[in-house]
Amino acid sequence: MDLASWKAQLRKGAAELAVLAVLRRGEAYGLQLLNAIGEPGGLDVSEGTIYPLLNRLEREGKIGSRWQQEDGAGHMRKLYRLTPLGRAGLKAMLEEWHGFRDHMERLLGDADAR
Amino acid sequence: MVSATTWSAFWEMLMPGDLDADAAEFQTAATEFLQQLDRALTSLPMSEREAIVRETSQHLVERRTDDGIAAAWASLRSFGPPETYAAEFIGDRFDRSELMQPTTSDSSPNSFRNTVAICVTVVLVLALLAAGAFLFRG
Repeated sequence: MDLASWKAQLRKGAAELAVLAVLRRGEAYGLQLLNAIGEPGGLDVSEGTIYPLLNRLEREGKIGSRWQQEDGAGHMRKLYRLTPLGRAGLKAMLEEWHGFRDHMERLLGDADAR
Repeated sequence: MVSATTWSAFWEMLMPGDLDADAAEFQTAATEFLQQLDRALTSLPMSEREAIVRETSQHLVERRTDDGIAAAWASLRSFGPPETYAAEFIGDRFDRSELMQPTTSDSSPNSFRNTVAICVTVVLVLALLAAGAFLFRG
């Protein structure tokens, strides 16, 4: 079994949910999102993955963005925010996620008990 | 295409002052990557293309200023080849939405029907002309 490939697929599927969940806390720029999602034990989403994902979510209307001059950083940052459509999408995804998690925990609990 | 002035301003912001050898090498590699990325995104609307290149460059600036040159190199490598990275932005929209939309291109059903109608008309006209010529000769 190719564990690395399985892990990559698992994390890829969860990346959209993770981005929307982080944006629920407030506006964030790409690197911030990357750091939040990729915290130790996190999804390990790469630089080459996060921006195409953000681009797609923006085209789908789930997130919006604006450019802001950062005083401390001395350069521009593209800040992303959750839209009402994204918030609704997140809610639906979370419901699915919780149902999936509960089902898997029951299955895995049964498997562990044997 | 991103102008030379934009690149110049970008690099001045990224690495003000004299560059050491590693920083200069990174500047060359990053410039090349961003220029190739810009070219590889030509099928996208100009505003979107500029936003992608701009955000990518800002990301490299952020890595360079916050985490140092080694992190900036790692970040640049993480994007992969510019054409592959560009395809991540372009690929799925042509696979999904654009192909689902009715278009005015030659591949649309209406266009196909029009082409068939024209062909049938031409064949009928030619047949009538041939029949007329045959009758007059007879």
